[in-house]
Amino acid sequence: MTRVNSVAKTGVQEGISRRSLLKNSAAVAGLALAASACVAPGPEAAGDEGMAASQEPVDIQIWWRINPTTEGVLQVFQEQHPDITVSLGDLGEAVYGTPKYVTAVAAGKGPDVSYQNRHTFRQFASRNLYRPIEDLLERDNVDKGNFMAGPIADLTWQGTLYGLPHTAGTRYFFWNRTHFEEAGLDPDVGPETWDDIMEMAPQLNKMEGDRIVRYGFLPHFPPGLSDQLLIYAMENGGVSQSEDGRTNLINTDPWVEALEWCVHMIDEFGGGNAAASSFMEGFAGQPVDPFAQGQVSMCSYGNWMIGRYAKFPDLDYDGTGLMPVSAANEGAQVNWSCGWTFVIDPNTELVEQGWEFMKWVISEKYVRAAGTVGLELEKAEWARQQLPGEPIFAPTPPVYQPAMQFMLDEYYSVLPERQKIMMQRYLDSETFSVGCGQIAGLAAAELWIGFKNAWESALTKKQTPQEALDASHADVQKALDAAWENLESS
Amino acid sequence: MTNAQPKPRLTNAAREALTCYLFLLPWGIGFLAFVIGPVAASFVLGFMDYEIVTPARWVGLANYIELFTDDQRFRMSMGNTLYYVLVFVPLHVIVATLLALLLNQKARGIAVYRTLFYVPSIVPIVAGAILWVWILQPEWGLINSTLRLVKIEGPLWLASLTWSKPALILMALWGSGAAMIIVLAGLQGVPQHLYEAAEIDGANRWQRFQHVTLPMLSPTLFFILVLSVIASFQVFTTAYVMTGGGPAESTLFYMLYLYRRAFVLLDMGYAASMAWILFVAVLALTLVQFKLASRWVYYEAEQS
Amino acid sequence: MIRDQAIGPQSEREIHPGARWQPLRRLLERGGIQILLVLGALIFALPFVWMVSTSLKADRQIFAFPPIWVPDPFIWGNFPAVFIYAPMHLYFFNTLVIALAHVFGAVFTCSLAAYAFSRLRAPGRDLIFMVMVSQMMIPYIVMLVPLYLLFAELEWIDTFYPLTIPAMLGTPFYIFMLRQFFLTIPMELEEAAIIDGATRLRIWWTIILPLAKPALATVAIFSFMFAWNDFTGPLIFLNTREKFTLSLGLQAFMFERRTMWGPLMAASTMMIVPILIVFFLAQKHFIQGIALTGIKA
Repeated sequence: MTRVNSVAKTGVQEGISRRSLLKNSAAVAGLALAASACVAPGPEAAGDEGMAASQEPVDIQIWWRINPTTEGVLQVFQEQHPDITVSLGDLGEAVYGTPKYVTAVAAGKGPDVSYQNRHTFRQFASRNLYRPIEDLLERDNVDKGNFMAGPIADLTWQGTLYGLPHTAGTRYFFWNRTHFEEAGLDPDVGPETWDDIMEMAPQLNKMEGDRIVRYGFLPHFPPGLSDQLLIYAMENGGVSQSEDGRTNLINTDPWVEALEWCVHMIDEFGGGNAAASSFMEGFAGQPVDPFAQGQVSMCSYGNWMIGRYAKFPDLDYDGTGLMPVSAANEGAQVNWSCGWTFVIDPNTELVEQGWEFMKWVISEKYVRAAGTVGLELEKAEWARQQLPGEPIFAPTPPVYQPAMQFMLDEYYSVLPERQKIMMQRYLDSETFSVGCGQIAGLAAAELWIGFKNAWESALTKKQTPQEALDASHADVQKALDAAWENLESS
Repeated sequence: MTNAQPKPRLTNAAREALTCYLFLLPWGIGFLAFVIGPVAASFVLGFMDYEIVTPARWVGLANYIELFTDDQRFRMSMGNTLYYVLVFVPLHVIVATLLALLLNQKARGIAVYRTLFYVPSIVPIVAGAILWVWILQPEWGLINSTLRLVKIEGPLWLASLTWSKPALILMALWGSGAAMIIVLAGLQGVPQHLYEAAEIDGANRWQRFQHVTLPMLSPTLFFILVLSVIASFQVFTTAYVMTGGGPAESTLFYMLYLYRRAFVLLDMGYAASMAWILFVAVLALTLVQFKLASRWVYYEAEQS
Repeated sequence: MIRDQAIGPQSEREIHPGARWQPLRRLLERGGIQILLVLGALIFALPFVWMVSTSLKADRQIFAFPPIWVPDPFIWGNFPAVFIYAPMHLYFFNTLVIALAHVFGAVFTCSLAAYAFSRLRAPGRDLIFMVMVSQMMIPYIVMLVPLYLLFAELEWIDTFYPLTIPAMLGTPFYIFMLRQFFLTIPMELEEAAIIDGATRLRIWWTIILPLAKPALATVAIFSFMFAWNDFTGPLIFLNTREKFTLSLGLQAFMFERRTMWGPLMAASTMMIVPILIVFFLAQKHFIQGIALTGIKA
């Protein structure tokens, strides 16, 4: 703890010296402005400066998303906390890189509280990008045991928790029951192993001349992302790095075999990479995927599709199951979990206000507020798209168990049976999922890029799966070594 | 303005110079205030290991040495970018000129055509990207379906290692409307009497184009050429949106790699040194262009 | 393929040996041009048509294969839905303010500098010019962090100043472009004025600016469009929604793993239609402007 704090402090001091490095240009700018335009600084600048009376609410910067839900929710939060006002900012694109956030942090002006994806969490937590919150947890008796275990483990670096997890998601296997019936397969029984997939996929393929117009199975899901390789490797017993987090293992046998299997599936049953890639190419813009269009019969997707697929009245997406595994790994239950987290800036003075918000946003109070807005928006969506039937509102599951229970009682209990089943599958799979933060470790950004490169190089036959994974492994290992060296030298 | 009237104490040349500096002053203020500082900062950063979350540390030439000796992505992304520049820039200048000549005609509804040709330059990239995915879609996309009519099997475009760059170039060319407008404006500066004189001399259309239009247009074309080179070396958005650098990094352009270093891997120092290498390369190329310009660019104002 | 810009009245006067064939030739030529124009327009207008068509589709039709061009049913609701997620009228006004600042900078500040670079001799002028041109070669994104720091010191974050003040002080691109145009304007036109004792400022204002109308219209359009579509600047320097621009507003329809394509396209349509109208009205200035022949003769 103390070690971390002192490191954070040097960070602050360095920030100041960095600032003085650039101060000259600011001085020049000031002069120039005085000379040219005499522009007064924005009026809000004056309001911010100290001397606020004690009753006056304190304003905190929260960078999250800007949309009707977050705005509605923050209104409720401010009503319940008259001593705090919130300036809401949007992080912009945020899964694989956030230029806005990075720029502000690099300039030493990060927001008090921000919303972070767990993809790269450990990498940044280890570098003190976030404030440790153990002291706050202890003081307010917040029990870590009330959260799902996976996300908490993800946010813990060397025994210290660095943020409060907000949402989570895992994968399912979906199949189209109508297609199963057409092909003479039992619509109640989905594939449990890779062998099952290989047996079913060709039966589900639909041809038009020599062209495949419906694919039984394509390993590219979710389309538009590039981390597909990870789930197949896990299904084959692959792990991404050694226990101590120092050795990257993505060129080990389970990974190579998994990638070989994907390439094989595409060559054997997907008409080859040319046909399959060109087919998927049209769906690169993600939201409406070929499974939803009835052009793929089986796919792996996530719990965020529970509400989405409900908007396709003709889609018989009932069939859902756990992720199938390879023969070598038969009987194993595998999944990975990811989601979003709130963190406090290590340099902010508004820790109390930020913490107050974080405790609120993970709780039932948030679920209720978000649900009220969300339900209205969902109704508006159904009306806009002229969809038949009642709106199906399936909000994103929270990580805090009491909030989850509240969500189940309040929103999922009234949903159709299949949505309830899918939710239960999610809850089951969360118990054995591995968090994406743990998977990615200290060279997270390199690892996600490495997945994309290996996948594309192998599919386009630029390299064999072994070569492709060796190359990605080398990149990630180099970054990993550098990260550890940096960590230990500071 | 009237105080310029009294007897000049300065020589004419000095007055002219003073006026020149005064006219440049607003830009100069902006330059000193908002450009020189950040530029200097990025230069210094190039010699530092600055990973944003940890304090910046002076490392001398280490970033540059790593770039040149131990970073095959640097070479590869530069190669991809050179490919793009070499193919795109000449095509861009030619297409823009041809479009401008076409749209300079007197034809019914020419105003509407001009507007339509300009449309791709203003459609938000997110809206345009989806359409292009479909135009380039190998199986039933617009281009390959058309090629199939003449019995040609089109490539995989964005999914192909060899055709991904041409696909992005095609996309960029489709936005030539902006350069077209510059040429169109340039064409208006060609004095009519020159055409008339050439006609009297018996010049045919091609000769008139070659001896009147081209020289008079050369300052505009020079501008487009210089700017295209500068901009193409910094090609970013289309690749970022369409391919993310793939497949297998075949469209990982220099700026894409720089962006990745800066904002994904948080290697700001390294990114800054990359920026300076790019700067030196492009500056050298631009200086060469300015040197060569005297051979083909014709300035009316310098003739008198 | 190469046709020079045979402007109507002039070809009328054309003296040609094969005068007999001229009407036919002209007909073919006109026809050829018309065909090229229509073909080109089809290709170039495609995105616009697609955008408008998509703005009227239900989500499930947007990625249907093969593509659907005519929505069924028409989802007019996409347009009102836009306002649930983004107050476009507010963003419209914000964007307009920023864009007008850019136009001001391009037309006045930049043309002043361009005039100096093209006409006024001064020691070091060409060096300054090259420094200005080279300013464009530094990738903007490596300057973001120091710029952010600078604007933060000035308390300019989350104001329009970072997006307007630098632009009002001039942009190399427009200065360079205008310089090129000014260099094609014959010197003689202002020599008389100089002899009459007119100041340079006066010459710039009364002779050069009117003569360069097509060029000024071009930089005006360019700077306006740039500001209208700029994403990076507003993204980095604006925080609160009250100050958002249209391009930032489009983000409201893109959620993690989900994009509301219908409303997004409806918002995009609303964003660019005003521009198209402005452009349509302004485009005649690109060809009108200079009557150099008259002045010369």
